Amino acid sequence: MSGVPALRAARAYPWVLPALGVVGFVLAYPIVKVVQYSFTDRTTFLDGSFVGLDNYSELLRDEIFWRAFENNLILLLSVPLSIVIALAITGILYRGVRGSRLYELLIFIPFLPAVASIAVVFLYLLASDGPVNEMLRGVGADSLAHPWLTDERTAIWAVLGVVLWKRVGFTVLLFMARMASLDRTLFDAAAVDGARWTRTYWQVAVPQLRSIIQFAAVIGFIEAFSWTFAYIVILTRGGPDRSTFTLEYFLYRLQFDEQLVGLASAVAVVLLVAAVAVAAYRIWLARRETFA
Amino acid sequence: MSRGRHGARRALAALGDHAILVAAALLSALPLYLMLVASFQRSSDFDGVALLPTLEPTFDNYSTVWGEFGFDRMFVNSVVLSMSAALIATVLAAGAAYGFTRFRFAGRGVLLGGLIGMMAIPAIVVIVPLFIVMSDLGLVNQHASGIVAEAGIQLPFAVFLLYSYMNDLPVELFEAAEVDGASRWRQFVEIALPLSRPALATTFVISAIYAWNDLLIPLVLWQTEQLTTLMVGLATLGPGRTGVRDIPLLMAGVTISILPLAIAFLLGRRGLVRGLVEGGDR
Amino acid sequence: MAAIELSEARKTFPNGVEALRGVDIAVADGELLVLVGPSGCGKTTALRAIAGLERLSSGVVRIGGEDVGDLEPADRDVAMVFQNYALYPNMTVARNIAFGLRARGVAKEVRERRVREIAQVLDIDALLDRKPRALSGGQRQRVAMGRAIVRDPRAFLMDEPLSNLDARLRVQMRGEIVRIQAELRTTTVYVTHDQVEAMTMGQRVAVMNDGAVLQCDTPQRLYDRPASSFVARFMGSPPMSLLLGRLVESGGDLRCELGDASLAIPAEVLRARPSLARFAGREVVAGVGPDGFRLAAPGAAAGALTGAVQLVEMLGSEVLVHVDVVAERPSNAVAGPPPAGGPGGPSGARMSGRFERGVSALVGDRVAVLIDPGQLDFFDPESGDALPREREDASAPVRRAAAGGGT
Repeated sequence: MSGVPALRAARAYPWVLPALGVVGFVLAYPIVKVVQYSFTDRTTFLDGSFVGLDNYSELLRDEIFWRAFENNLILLLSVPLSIVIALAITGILYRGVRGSRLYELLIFIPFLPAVASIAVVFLYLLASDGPVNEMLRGVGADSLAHPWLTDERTAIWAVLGVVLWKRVGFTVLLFMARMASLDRTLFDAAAVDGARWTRTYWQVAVPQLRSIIQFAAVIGFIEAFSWTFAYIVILTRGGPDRSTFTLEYFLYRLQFDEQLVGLASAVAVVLLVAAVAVAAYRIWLARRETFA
Repeated sequence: MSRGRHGARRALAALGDHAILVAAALLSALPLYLMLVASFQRSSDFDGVALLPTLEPTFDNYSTVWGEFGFDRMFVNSVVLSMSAALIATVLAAGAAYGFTRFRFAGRGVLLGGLIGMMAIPAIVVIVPLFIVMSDLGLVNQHASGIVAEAGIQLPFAVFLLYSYMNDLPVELFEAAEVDGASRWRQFVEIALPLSRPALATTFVISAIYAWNDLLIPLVLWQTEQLTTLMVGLATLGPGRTGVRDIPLLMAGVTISILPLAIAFLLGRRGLVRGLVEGGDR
Repeated sequence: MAAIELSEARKTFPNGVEALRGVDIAVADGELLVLVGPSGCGKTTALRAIAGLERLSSGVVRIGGEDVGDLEPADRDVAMVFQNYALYPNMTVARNIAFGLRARGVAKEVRERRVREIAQVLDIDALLDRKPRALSGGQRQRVAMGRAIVRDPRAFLMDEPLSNLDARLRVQMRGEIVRIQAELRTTTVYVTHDQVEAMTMGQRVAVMNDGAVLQCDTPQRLYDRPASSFVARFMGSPPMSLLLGRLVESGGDLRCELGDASLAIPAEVLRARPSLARFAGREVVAGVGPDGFRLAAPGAAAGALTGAVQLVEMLGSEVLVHVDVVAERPSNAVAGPPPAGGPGGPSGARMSGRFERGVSALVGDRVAVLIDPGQLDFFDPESGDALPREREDASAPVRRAAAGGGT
């Protein structure tokens, strides 16, 4: 290719600069700023001054922060849980019962609507006088009927249930796609060797799904950052009595209710570290794959 | 020839399989079914639960939520946000993907890696400074802020998709064009873009869907009633607004919010699913 | 140890393909039967039906005398070796071999002992802790065999297990499989598309085409007495040459006219095949083995076939010469698709012959082809079936080595 390197670079810039510019403005620059803010006591109205690690130590002493952190972990349980459930369903679906296409389609439906839309639907379903409780009473399990979203003991777990409901279908799709590309003669071999499908599936097929399981896990962790906010905003508003706060929602309230920019930024940095950790894990996984 | 399955044992196992699948399928479909059923119920007849479709369905809820509660305006806002953001993201990503594939320059690897790496950053992490910047620029509650922010969030993934695709295009096509004397711009317009049509379509649709479904950015940057999107409307209407415990109304609203995606799904299942799977469940 | 039987097996796949059209196969207890045929002939389907991996549309599968149609593969107590070995990639060699035993709940010490024994016999005991991807093709093949042997099943089913190996390894493994089978005396059904492999391995060979078994016999008899033109041209390398000719009566004798040649049919051939008389005055397909003719200079003998040499293959110990002769070629249904035209241009029928080293012929040479009428075989020009013989006379094969060498 002809031309001086600098000149060549200049020719490339018009192409990449717009995208880089927008991403820089929307993502890169704010990352820098959020880290910066986390070390100040800035509020929406006052610029504030440098306070070192004060925000962080305040967070560490704040029981709401820890409650939120705990709730995040509880909701993250949805990742391994959805994977296990999806594996079980895939094992049955793959066998090819009659109408498995229809089942696959129905099981996948929860994936499509937006988190916000689904959350509102479950607001209705999980209400004290809503369908879930009604059906429980209908089958005589009155004692199980609960104000799911307003009882401190059950609220976060109800949210976990909703998350699971939404995630499993997507995960099943992932696994089914990968199963389709596996070598079917292995299953024939196992069958002739004397193994029933259950043994064949869990001992021969699932080990081969390892990379897609890891992919599902990583995707799950990354997306958690987005939906923990939406579900909490709609389903519980952090209640009852701030027992269902998550870090994302905590951040939102700190900033837009209490105007505490510095503190909110500190929480954001915690999330940032987690996000980067997940990304690093993903890269490390990818490296291992190529050098396997 | 109906020898049937391998004997009774297999039949029993098949029954068990079916039972589990039926349970899973029912569980998956039930919420949306209940949503639809409730949406067609007369509000006055509704007492908290509607398990079976009513014999007197009504569209009142839809028309009320559309007119009185402003869902018509919200719908437009959602359309504006998602289409604009998707358009900008796709166009910019196409240009950037082209730039990264067809040019060699210092820092190319770092910039590309960094750009795509931004996929790992969730919006919630940057929303505070983003809001402040937009606020300082006076862009909060202006169309520009929401659209640019949304486009920015979608860009890393868009670049990832389009770069992967364009990188796989045969180099010879471009080299031939180069030898023929075509300018870079012409190569882009007449070779890269047409050949990337499937990826461009996918990118646009994926970005539009995610922007449509997004809650956080329009919630923060488009706060006025004029700019509320469907998702924001649902979030504030449902739990927030006093006096609105009108489930049928709410369910009608939710159905409206889901409609475009449902239609897109019915029209173009395969590609849609494939693209969404790559992007994940947000 | 058990006999295997397929009776009137029919299998039609959902896409309409009829893979098996009424196949009858009987394998004696302890026997090694080879199923051979071109791609798509149904041999693999038949094997899978025996294993239970395919369910027959109609017909019976019997193992050890009992109808196993309702049994799942896991319950049939057969072992299968696959073309791509189908080793479980996430397990070590030891676990691969032991898998079937584990599935049947065999105790751990017994399992480990058996695995070690088999590994020693197959010379893979050094590999027990490796994973399949760290093994060569030949090693993987042995592990697949080990997995099958260790279970001591009623039968071995092998689906082209050697196709993925290089030629030398293939020949070596062939011998080993035959040796192992002979030692264990386990009933074995072996599928291959390679007729050389079939001939060298099978105690009996079943030739299949298009979903049916054409002939099931010992390799020698398949070669000497092919039951149809398909078998004749499929088995043997080079295979039998097929020409379309006419039988005429002339002065009390029956003569076969092929091209310009007119061959008198010897009395013993007539005695062995009385049905020939019915074809007097009609077209008939004549088959000549690669050892059934000589080459001579053109014009050397009156009434000989003339032709042009298309291809000469020097094999060291012998020479193969392929000649396009001026004679009619039977229909494609009987003789198969025509070979590509040689330098002499596409012409009538191609004959392939095997000669001693030292025979000199050059591509393009015009030659006379002298057929030994005593070695002629005859087939129906419509169906391709061999013309029936009077009695099975094992001591008088139709084909035998030509007396004397070639030109």
